[in-house]
Amino acid sequence: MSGDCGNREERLVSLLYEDGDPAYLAEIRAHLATCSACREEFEGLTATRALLGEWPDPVDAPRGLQLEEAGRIASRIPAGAGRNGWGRFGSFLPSLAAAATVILALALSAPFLRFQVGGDGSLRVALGGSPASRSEAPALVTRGDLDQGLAQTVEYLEAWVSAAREQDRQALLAAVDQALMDEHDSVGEQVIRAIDSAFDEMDRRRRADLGVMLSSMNDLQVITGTELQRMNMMLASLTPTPQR
Amino acid sequence: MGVPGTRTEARGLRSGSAQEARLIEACQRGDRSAFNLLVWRWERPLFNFVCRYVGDAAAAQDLVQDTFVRVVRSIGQYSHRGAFSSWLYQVAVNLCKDHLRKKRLQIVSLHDSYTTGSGQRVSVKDQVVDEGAQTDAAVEAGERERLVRRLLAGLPEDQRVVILLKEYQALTFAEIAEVLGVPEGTAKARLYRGLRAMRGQLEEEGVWLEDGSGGVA
Repeated sequence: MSGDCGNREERLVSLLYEDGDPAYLAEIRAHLATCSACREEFEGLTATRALLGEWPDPVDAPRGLQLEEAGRIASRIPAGAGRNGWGRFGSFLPSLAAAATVILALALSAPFLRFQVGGDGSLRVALGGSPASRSEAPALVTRGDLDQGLAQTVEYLEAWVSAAREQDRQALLAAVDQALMDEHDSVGEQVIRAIDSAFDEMDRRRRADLGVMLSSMNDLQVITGTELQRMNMMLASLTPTPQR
Repeated sequence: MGVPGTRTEARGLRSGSAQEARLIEACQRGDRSAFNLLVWRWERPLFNFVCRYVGDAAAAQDLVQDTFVRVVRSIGQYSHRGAFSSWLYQVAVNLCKDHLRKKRLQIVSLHDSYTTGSGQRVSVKDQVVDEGAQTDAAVEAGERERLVRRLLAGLPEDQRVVILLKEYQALTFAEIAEVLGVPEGTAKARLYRGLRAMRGQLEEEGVWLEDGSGGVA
């Protein structure tokens, strides 16, 4: 190994993950072009690293705030529920149930994210504005402020709204908007109830889980007043906040 | 540099953003919805990390719950000086280490798991798989996954955790250094040695990688 091969472990790993400024990485690449030993070593690392990609993520988190389950709960709301509410939208109830899932996904992040419906019927994502301060104009954020997952969720909702018939689209937009903008329309109420119901069900399970867990935690031998206060705060935090 | 496979990212706002900082501050004030969002954002990546680390899904569930309890209990002490994700993973790593130490869980050893009754080690190519209901592609994919799990399980813990954090959680080396409390150079060296050891094991078993795509010949 020549002098240029010094600190090989760190240099090769830096190149493998492209961790470093371009000049530093270019220097390593230049060295590999002239050093067969380092080149072979790097190729071996690359192939071994590629193999790691063959282990997919185990499974989705099996408990907690699972949106899929919340969506299923929301979709079990009977068509006739609410009498004056869902009946209006009976022809696209499945879509509305799907929307409830999306709404829930976004409602979970309240008070940070919410929708705004533009004058042209377009949908925009708004950031900020707690339920208590919704009269304040929220700051709009760009798509770039959202991570890919949430951006896709928003995109899905927008596509879904766009695909609806014009008449339905306006009604759905109003339903979504009202559900999140604290207007006590009957449809909005139903959506909020569905969300709250889902939260309650998940909350009960999480509380049960926490109860079992807390009772078995052997490292809580001494609970100070501060710790107890924090624990109580955490348990209180598990009570879902109605999104209105 | 892209690598096949999946990465579990936190959901919602981008990590390290000003919005995330606001979320943490809201949690510190005891905001219930902020805590719910925190759990929503992180439970999946945490679960997958812990599951890979301890090799036991049931234990991983409990450890993730423990992690969130610890985080909630001490979130008031979080100072925003480092990445929140680093702090979160640090809590999880410590709990995993305690778990493995307490249970003396010996993650599947390469030699034990693949040693026949007569004492002969079985190469991955000789593994018995149920091919009845699987396509060739599925069988091959299953073999490769088992191979990766087995190789990682055979590594020393300090090398394995660096690989898990880098490859599957997509942490930066600076974040890994924060999580483990070691210099970045050390983290890189551990990762290098881990990959090197995996390759050495493959060579010892007579398994070679066809190319950079991870194909097992």
